[in-house]
Amino acid sequence: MSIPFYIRKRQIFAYVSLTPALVILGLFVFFPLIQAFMTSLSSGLGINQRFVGFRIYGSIMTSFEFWNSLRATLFFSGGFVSITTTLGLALAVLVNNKRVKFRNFFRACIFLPYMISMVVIALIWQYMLNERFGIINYLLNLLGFKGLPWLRTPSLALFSLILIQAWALVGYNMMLILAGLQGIPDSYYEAGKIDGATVWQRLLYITVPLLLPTLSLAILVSTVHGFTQSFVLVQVITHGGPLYSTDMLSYLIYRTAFDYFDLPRANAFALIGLGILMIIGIVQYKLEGRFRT
Amino acid sequence: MKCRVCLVLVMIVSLVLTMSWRGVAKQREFKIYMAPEHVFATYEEVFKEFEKTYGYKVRVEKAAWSEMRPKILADFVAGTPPDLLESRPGWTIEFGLLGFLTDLTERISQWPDSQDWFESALKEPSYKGRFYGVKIHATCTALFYNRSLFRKAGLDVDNPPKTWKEMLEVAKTLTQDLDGDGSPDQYGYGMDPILGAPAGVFVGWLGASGTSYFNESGTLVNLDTPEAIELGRFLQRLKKWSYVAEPAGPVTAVRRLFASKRNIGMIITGPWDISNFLEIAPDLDYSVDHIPVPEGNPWGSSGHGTHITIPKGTKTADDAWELVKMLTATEVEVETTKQFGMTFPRNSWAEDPAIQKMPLIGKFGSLIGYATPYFGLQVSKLGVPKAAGKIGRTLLMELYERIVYLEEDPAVAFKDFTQKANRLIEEERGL
Amino acid sequence: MFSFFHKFQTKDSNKNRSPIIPVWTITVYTVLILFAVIAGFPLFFIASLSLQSFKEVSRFPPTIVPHSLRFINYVTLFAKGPFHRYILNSFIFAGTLTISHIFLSTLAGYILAKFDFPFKHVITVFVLSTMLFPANLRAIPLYILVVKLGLVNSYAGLIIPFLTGGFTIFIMRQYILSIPTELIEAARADGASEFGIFLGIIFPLAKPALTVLAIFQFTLRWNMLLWPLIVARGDLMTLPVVVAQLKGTTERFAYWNLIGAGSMLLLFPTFVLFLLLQRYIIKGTQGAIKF
Repeated sequence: MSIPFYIRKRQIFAYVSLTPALVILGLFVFFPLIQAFMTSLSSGLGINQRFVGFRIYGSIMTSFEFWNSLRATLFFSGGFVSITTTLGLALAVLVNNKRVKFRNFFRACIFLPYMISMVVIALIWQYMLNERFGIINYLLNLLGFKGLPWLRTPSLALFSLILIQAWALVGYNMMLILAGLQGIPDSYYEAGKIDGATVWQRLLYITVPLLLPTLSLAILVSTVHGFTQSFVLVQVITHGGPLYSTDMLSYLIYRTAFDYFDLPRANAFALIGLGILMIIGIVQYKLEGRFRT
Repeated sequence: MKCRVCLVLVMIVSLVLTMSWRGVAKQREFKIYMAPEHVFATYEEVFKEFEKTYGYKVRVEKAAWSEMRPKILADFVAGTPPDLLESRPGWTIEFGLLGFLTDLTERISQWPDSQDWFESALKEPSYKGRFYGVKIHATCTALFYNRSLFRKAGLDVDNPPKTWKEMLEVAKTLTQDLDGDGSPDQYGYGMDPILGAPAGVFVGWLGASGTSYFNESGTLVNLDTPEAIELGRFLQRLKKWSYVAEPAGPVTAVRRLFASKRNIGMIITGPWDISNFLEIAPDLDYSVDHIPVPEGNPWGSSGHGTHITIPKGTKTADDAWELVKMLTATEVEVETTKQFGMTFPRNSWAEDPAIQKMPLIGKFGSLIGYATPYFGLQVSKLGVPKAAGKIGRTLLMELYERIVYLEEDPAVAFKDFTQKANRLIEEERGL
Repeated sequence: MFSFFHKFQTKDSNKNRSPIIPVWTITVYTVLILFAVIAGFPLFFIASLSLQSFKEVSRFPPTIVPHSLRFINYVTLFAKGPFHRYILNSFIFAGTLTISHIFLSTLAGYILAKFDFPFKHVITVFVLSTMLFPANLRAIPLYILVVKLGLVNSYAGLIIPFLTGGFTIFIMRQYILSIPTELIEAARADGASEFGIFLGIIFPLAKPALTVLAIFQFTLRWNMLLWPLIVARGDLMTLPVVVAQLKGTTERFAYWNLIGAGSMLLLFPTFVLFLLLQRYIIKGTQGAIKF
């Protein structure tokens, strides 16, 4: 059984083209990953490292901080992903419409938060959500509502962080989905209109299904972000409190690594997080494949 | 078409050139890591002199504490440490235990000047007799009170509360509802969030409470003491007459309210605020005094202030030691105080007439003597750096939240804290 | 050529149709304006901070509208070291990485989307899973690697570890998946070379995703803090590292006004980039065959 030459040529092109990317990823992402794994199996830092096996993982599995951080992360990611994806989709659709005047202005405004550094965003929102002096409660009072203790109670604190992070990233998701919207041929919509579909039906049965690759990208991206980048908000505003309600995995990793200099444990946390994300990613990959048929 | 090819070629060439650019040092470089606000002009002059005398090019890299951690960790692990490092007290013990700092014991013992340090200050950067640094700054927490508010409330301006009982009374008097809307507009005391910085006021109160921090043999933490529990109850009572800052709010909120809005009668903070207040509220009429203590107790407070250390593995240790001596010279210290308000751990500094003349700084000179090293630092001397970090930050934060914000029974909170802390210590020792 | 998708097209070119129901218009504009304000207000706050004096900025509760407009803050900021150098460094870092991602990631994404070869699934999973590993923990091993390679204190050491990433490859893969394969087959039948197809067909068609990628990458690298903090020293420092120094240790009250000015400065290039590029996101489908 011989493979035709033209297919061979294509395969060679594929491999050659992938080589730079694979080399860089292999050397600069995969290799540190292996090192991280080795570190998690050892104890001590730098020259003092010595191999101790899976002991750290055992200690982690029985620790309150780990399971608490998983809980916080899942709540956070769940809320964050759903809010940013739905809002992002809604805004992308609105802003895509040629009839809307000043779309460029709206797009720029909504995207703006993403361009501000996360630390500054955290500090600004810390002020705005201040129970007594913050502007959010001030506005609520003007409208006749009572101000909420945004950052003081455990349940609200996590929710506030979701809000802030969503605020920062809705524009990002919007742009992502917007790009995806461009790939849907108009002919589908025209066909739909001819068949008498309403606006909502067109949205549900044409847009969303065709947007699936982009939507799954947006969801995965948001999930990854919630798992890995969300620590800035915690580090600046809540420090894991009140009462460990906002002690997410990303913050746990950061403070274990850099506040306690406990690299083995921090790497172990990160690898477990990576494992969870991989499971989520693979599930999405499979679902996407099934949907596409 | 040709234009595009040219453009791409230009880009590639410039890329290659950029990539091959190397930062080449013309002279030997001497790297110093310091906190941004401690790079005083007086120190910079010392650096210049050091450059001339020893033939280096001094490069100071500034990093705030939260950025300093990842940076210094990466340097330690990769083997590229700075030649001189300013380190927070707890860090010195931690880095020393991890083997990243040069042992300075011999050098210090052969240095006559070292006897001039306050005794506890000299011993601070040491663990089991090995010295890993020199204490360069010495601060402590103290009571700051607003004299105008005292005056208006009819209190004795020169006699701030000395005991916890007096403090409660004074705070009560100062808490007033000035505009009649039912909620107070002026408060007796301002309660910081736990990570009120740089010291974390709670450890100041711990120092004042007179509690011991350890069990009898000194190997484990123990805050399950009657003094600590009394502190908890006291804070819960004080809360009624205080502005309570949000736990997740800006860490400097209370100090800034004290200086700008001026609706708080008393706060706990340190000498670093003297220059702050001078800059943003020069007309603020306030004074400093000891933190109030339980009836019949001696004065107490938490001691802070950074160390200068020499990382291991640099080739400049001898010259770095010379720089340490230059930086901590009394004249430099006195001049720094005059211009920038920093306080120092040397007897010759405290006795200097210029210092004694400065009203508030001079007062601190006498206050520092009563301060004991803050709780986190003492825990780190148990020899368990990772647990110490967790205990001094995370567990302490939880303790404070439970006592002050959730108003739980302090007996339960302190007992829980002790148990959790000791579990961490034993786990780390077991490893 | 493709025309644009009109979601609310109840009014078409037939002039006999009745005008749009106003309710839609009002809702749409209200929502958009609401979001624009919510998104924009904190920015206004930052701008206000950048114009306040140290005294004003240290007040608590913070002032929202500054009493005096002290543009001099920006000048003070520039005086704190070789700022033009820091800005250049940030540009080199962000710009080079953006360009490299545009090429390398699009190529890789194209291969993963449209080609079949042994081990394709394994490689795809490998590549995509690289985006799941947080950059924070890569920082220290990468730094050690950079030190071993002798690349400390050079642009190369700063840039090379991030030349491509699973993230951007994933974005391009997802987008290219939706490009009709028939186009590629047709070009092959016409005798075009593989690389020619990549440059001539895929690249132009992928413009929306490319633009998005460019904006994201540039913004991400421009604002990146941890890696440049560890690797870039002295003259090589990037803007966010310098601005972070202004936070101080809270012993002294932070120079919020300067931080605000620094943040506005940080915002400026990414915003300009966005304004310049955003139209390409919509244009993208030009040149494709309508079928």
